[in-house]
Amino acid sequence: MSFPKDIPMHDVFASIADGLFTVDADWNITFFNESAERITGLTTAQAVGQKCWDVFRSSLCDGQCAIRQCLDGGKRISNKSIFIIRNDGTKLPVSISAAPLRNSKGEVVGGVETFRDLSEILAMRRKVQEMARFEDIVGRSTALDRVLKIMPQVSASSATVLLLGQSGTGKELFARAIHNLSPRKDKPFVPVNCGALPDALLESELFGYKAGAFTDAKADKPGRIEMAEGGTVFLDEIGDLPGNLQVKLLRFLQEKTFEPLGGLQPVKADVRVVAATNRDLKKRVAEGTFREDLYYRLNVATLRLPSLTERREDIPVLAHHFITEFNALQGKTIEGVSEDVLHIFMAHDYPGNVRELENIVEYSFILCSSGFIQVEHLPDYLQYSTGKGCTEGGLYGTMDEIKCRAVRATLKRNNGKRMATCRELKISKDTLRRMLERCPEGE
Amino acid sequence: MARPVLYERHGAGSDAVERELIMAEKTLLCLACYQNRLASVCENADEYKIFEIRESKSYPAGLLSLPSKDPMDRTSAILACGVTFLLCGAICEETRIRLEQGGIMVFPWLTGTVEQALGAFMGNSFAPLAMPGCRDRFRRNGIRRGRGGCRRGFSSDQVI
Repeated sequence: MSFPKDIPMHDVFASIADGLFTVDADWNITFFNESAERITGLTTAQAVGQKCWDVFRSSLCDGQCAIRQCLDGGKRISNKSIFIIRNDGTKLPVSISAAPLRNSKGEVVGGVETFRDLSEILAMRRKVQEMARFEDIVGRSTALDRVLKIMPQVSASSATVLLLGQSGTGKELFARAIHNLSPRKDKPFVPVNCGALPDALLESELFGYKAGAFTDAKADKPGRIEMAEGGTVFLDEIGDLPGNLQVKLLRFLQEKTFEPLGGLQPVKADVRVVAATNRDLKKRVAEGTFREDLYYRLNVATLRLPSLTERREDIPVLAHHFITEFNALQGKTIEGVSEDVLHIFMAHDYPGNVRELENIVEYSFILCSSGFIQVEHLPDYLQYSTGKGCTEGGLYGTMDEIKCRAVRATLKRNNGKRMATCRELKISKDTLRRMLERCPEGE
Repeated sequence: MARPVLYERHGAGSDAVERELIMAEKTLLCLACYQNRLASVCENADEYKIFEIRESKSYPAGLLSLPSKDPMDRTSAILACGVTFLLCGAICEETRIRLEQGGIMVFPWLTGTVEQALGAFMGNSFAPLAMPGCRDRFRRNGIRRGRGGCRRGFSSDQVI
């Protein structure tokens, strides 16, 4: 649909809330709307006729100009988060989009850039960030809220707790939160990873040993349960506990006593047990690798922790949390993630859950020294997830961009064979040709 | 020894307040550049070109190429070179404060080629190179000759 010729363009552009400016082929500003004046602090008279880099003063000017990328690559840029420097020296975060301008013959005659002030949005995000914190657990999604709502009551009791959740969902964080909210908060919290220690060591580690129990046992050594006296012991990967220790643990849960290795007398211990696993314990009970009586002893208060894909709305808050942490650790001042990175984060599946998101942010810190984390700072598998970008849960970008990625990914999968690509996508040869012409190289 | 004298003029009618800076014999001028012009944003510069100023002439004295865009890394590198003056485009207030606390006199909000920037510095007038919307920052105070042959009056447009 072509734009009606009699519409006063000036009034149209003046009404846009986003800043907008156009440049000619020599990078001189030819138009500067009112919102651009408001955001940059410069008047139209001061801007028009000047080089755009002298007016816009963005983190992309001087080598990474968005309009130049458009002109060179032939593609539009949208929603890139950068900052500009206003006359008073303050850094203002903005989101920009840029596109080439062509005349009626299709020749490039300049470029257009629009930009939006992000400072209010970022301020609101920071406020949400502050509100979205419970103990050290960050997030306020519905799925997480369901767990957090009952945590205070669960913590206040002395019932054994079983935390179920995939790897990387923060089971230890929740265990600590339960301990910190309980009357035992001033006593020790002792974590034990039952899957990390060899079976032979695990018993002595958990229950301790007496001098002479085995070679080199020269003195008594208290186990982790004894060390947690009055407090909480956190048994992570409880599904990996060997059979003989399951019996001992069951006895401890029932009678609050245990025998150290080589000991003759039972030892009493007032310790609350919080256990966690990413295994399906019911299935293990059915298979006979986990005791049914122990399962029911542990399953008094069960909290199921949502995976990150079940709480996607927490992803921005979590990303911001990790950025704040790494900024403090590394002495950097990274502002946040750009809008297109946020799209990628929201679309990714996170098999490693929150831990994977933390690793991604940590990786990005290696390549990003300041400003906003951009797509090029992300690990390769996120940058080049074009195939995933076309599947459910992986869609991001404009419809044209999604179509381009789908076509290119299918062509690559079929080793460049066009007919095979047409058959897979169920489109004609002409349709494929037209789509490829519209898609820039490398998209 | 060159002893630049800097004027601060607070309003049209007030008396000028003179500030003397005792400088080392060598005056090092740094330009935050992108290719052959001043970078529009100091923190974006891909090269910091250093010039030695001696007897009203400028001599190339080196080049700082800093791949790290971290503002603190760049500030430390510039300070380590013994630079006295920095000419640049737009600059964040915190970066500017950090540089000035390190003893560097910063002249920001400038645009132009390297030659133009050097000419402006040697000619003691930056107003023609002011970025759009920044001309009011530069108020020319004129040149003053100091006492004694070794004192050279140096005035600059005070940047506010």
